Amino acid sequence: MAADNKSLSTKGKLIWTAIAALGALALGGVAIYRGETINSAWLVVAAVCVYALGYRFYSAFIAAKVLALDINRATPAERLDNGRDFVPTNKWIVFGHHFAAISGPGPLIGPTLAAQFGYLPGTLWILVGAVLGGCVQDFVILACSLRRNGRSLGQMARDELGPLGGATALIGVMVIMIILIAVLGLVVVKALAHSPWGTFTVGMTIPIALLMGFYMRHIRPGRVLEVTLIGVALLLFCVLAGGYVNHHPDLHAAFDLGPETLAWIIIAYGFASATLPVWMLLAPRDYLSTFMKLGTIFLLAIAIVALRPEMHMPALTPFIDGSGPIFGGKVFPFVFITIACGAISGFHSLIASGTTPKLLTSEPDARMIGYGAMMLESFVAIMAMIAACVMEPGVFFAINSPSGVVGALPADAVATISSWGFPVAVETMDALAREVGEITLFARTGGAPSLAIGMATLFSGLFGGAFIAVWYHFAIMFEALFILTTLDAGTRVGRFMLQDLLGNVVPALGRTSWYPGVFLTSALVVGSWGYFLWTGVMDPLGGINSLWPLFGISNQMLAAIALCVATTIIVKHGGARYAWVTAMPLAWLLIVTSTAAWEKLFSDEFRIGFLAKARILGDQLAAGTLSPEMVEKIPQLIFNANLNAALTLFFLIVIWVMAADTARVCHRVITGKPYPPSSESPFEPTRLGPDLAAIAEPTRL
Amino acid sequence: MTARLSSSPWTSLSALWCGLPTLWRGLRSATGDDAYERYLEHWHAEHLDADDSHDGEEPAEPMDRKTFHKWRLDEDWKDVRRCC
Repeated sequence: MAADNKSLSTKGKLIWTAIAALGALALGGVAIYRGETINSAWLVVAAVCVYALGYRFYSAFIAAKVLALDINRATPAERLDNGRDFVPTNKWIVFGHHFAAISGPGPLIGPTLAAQFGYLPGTLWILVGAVLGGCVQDFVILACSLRRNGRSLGQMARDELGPLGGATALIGVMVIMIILIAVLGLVVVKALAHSPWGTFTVGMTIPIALLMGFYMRHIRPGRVLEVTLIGVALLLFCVLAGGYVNHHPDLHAAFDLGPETLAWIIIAYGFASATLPVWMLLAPRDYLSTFMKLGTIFLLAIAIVALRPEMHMPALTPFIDGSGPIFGGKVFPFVFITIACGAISGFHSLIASGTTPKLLTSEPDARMIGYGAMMLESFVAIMAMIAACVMEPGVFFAINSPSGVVGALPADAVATISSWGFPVAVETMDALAREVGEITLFARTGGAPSLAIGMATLFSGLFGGAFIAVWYHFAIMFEALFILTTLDAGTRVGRFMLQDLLGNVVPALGRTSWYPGVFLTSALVVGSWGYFLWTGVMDPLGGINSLWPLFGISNQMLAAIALCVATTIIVKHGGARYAWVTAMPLAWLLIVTSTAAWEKLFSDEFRIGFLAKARILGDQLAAGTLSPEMVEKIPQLIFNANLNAALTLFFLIVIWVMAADTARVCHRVITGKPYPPSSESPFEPTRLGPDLAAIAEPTRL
Repeated sequence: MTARLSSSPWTSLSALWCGLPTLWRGLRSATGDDAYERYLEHWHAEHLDADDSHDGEEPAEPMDRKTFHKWRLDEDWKDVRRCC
C-alpha cells in the first residue's frame, strides 16, 4: 500500500553512495573554496546531487511513512471526474501544469538580490530550504488536498483548525497577494524605466495577446497550439523590432517612459485585465508567457551546462554584516526572507491545493508532482544565482545599488562601489549599456536588469558572443511577460476573493456578472497594490529595499500557515511522531519571519527599521535643512514607513495566531480532548485498474 | 549490442517517425489544444450512460466549440493559477 520505499540492491547502494559522495564533494567545494572565481559547475553538481538524494530518500520516506500514499485509493479526479476541473490526467502533463503554475519570477529575482551577500548563503539556503522545506510543503499540502476532494488551503485551515485559523489564513492570502503584485509591478517598472527597447517589446505583448484572443475566440476557437506559435513568432519579431525603435529618434522618444508613467500604465493594465473577459487578454497572454517561460528556463539550463561559466562574485561579501546597498539587514535573517520562492514559497500551497489535486490519477504521483516540481523550481533559483554571479561584482553592484545609497552621478557611484573592494569604471558601465541597447545601467534596481545581463551573457555565449543586445531584451521581455501574467491573474483572483468576502454583506457585490460590483472590487484590489507600487516608485532608496522584504515575510508567513495546516493534519492522523517533517520547517520559518519582522519594525537603522525610518525622516523635516522638493515628499514617506510597519506587525500577529491555534489543536489531539474532526474523505478503492497504468505510465503518453 | 550495431539510422528514424503521433497527442493534451475533443468524448460518454434517465434538465446538445472555449477559460481563471 505504501509508496515505493523498497530496500536498495547492492548496485543501487553503490550508485547512491557515489552520488552522496559527489554531492558532498561539490557542496564542500562550494562552501570552502575561496579563489578569485569558481566554476558554476560546482553549484550545478552540488544541486543535482542534493535534489537526487532528497527525492530518492526523503520524499520516499514522507510518501510511505508520513502520508502513507496509497495506489489503491481513488483520487478526486477519478471519483468526481466531470470532464471539466476534475479530470484524471497523465502525470507528466500534470507535472508540466503544476510546474508552469508554481514557477514565477520569484526564484529569479530573489537570488539575484541575495547575491549581495555572495553566492554561498543564498545557494545553501536554496538547496537546504527546498529539500527540507519547500518541496515538503508543496508535497504534503498536495497530498492533504488530494484526500479532501481538492479543497483549498483556506478551506482546509477552517476545517482542520477551526474558524479562527480559517479566517486568519484567508486574510493572510489576500494581503500577500496585494504585496506580491505591488513588488512585482515595481520590478517591471524598474526594468522598463527609460528603456525604449524594453518598453516597446513588453508593450507589444498586449496587442499580440488581444490578437491571439480574437483569433482563438472568433477565427479558430480553442486552437491553443497554433495561436501560441503565431503569438511567439510575433513576439520574437517585436524583440528584434525593438532595436529599430531604439535607434529611431521619434520612436525612441515615444517609448522612453519614466517610472511614474510606467506605474500608471501598469495600474491601468491591471484594472483592464481584471475586468475584461478572460479570453480577450489574460488567457492569451498566459499562453505566450507559459511558452516563453518554459522555453527560456530550458535554454538557460542548456547554456549553463554547456558553458559552465566562471562566477566572479565572492562566496561571501562584507555585506553579510547588514550594510548591503541593495537592501539593509544582516545575512540572518534576511537571506531567508529575500529568497522565498526557490527555497520555500507559501504561495505554492495555493496551487498545490487548487487545480493540481483535481487532476492526479494516482495518489503516489503526488510525490513526483509536489516534491519534484518544487525541486525544479529550486534549480531555477540556482541558475538565477549563477547568472547574477557570472558578472563582475562591481558591475552587479553598480546596476543594483539605488542612487540614494551610492550617489546619483556615475562618478560618485563607481567611487563608492570601488571603495567597497569591487572595482568598476564609468567607461565599463557605459560600454555595457551601449552594448545592450540601454541609455544607462546605473541604479537599475529590482534585480531584473542585472539578471537580464547575466542571462544575455550566457545566451550570447552559446552563439559565440553575438547579439547580446537582442538577448538582453529577450531576457527583459521574458521576465516582464510572466511578471505581468502573475500580476493580471493575481488581480483577478484578488477580485474574486474580495467579491466572495463582500458578497456576505452585500449579496449583489458577490455576483461576478454585476458590472458595478466587478468595477468596484477590481478598483479596490488594483488601488491597494497600486498604492504600494506608487510608494515604491516614489521611494528615493528604490522601493525594492522596503517592498521585497515585506513580500518575503508575507510569503514565508503563508508557508508557515500551510505548514501549520499540514502539521495539524499529520498529528490528527496519528502521525505525531512524524510531525517533525513539517514542524521543523515551520519552526525555522517562525524564527526567521519573527526575527526579520522584529528587525523591520524596531531596528534603529534607517534602512532596516520602518519605525526608525519614519522617526528619522520626521527629525529631518523638523530640523528644516531639507530641499523644498524633499519637504514636499517627506510626509508621504513617513506615512508609507508607518504603513509598512503596521503591515509587518500584522504578519507577525497572523503567524503567531496560526502557530498558537495549531499548537492548541495538536495538544487536544495528543491529550485526547475533543478537536475538530479530520475532513479527510473516506477511502474508496480505485476502479481504474489497468487503465490507471495507461494514464499514469509515462511511456504511454 | 549486436542488435544495436545492426540497426541502421533508418530504423531509429522510423522509430522516431512512429513516435511522432504520440508526441503530438501529448503536446495537444498538455497545452489544452484538444480540450474540446475531450469534452465531447466525456459528454457523449456521460449521456450514453445516463441515456433517458434524465428528465430534460440536461441540455440535449453539447456546447459548440466556441461556447466551450469561452466557458473553459472563464472557469480556469477563477482559481489561483499563477504564482510568484
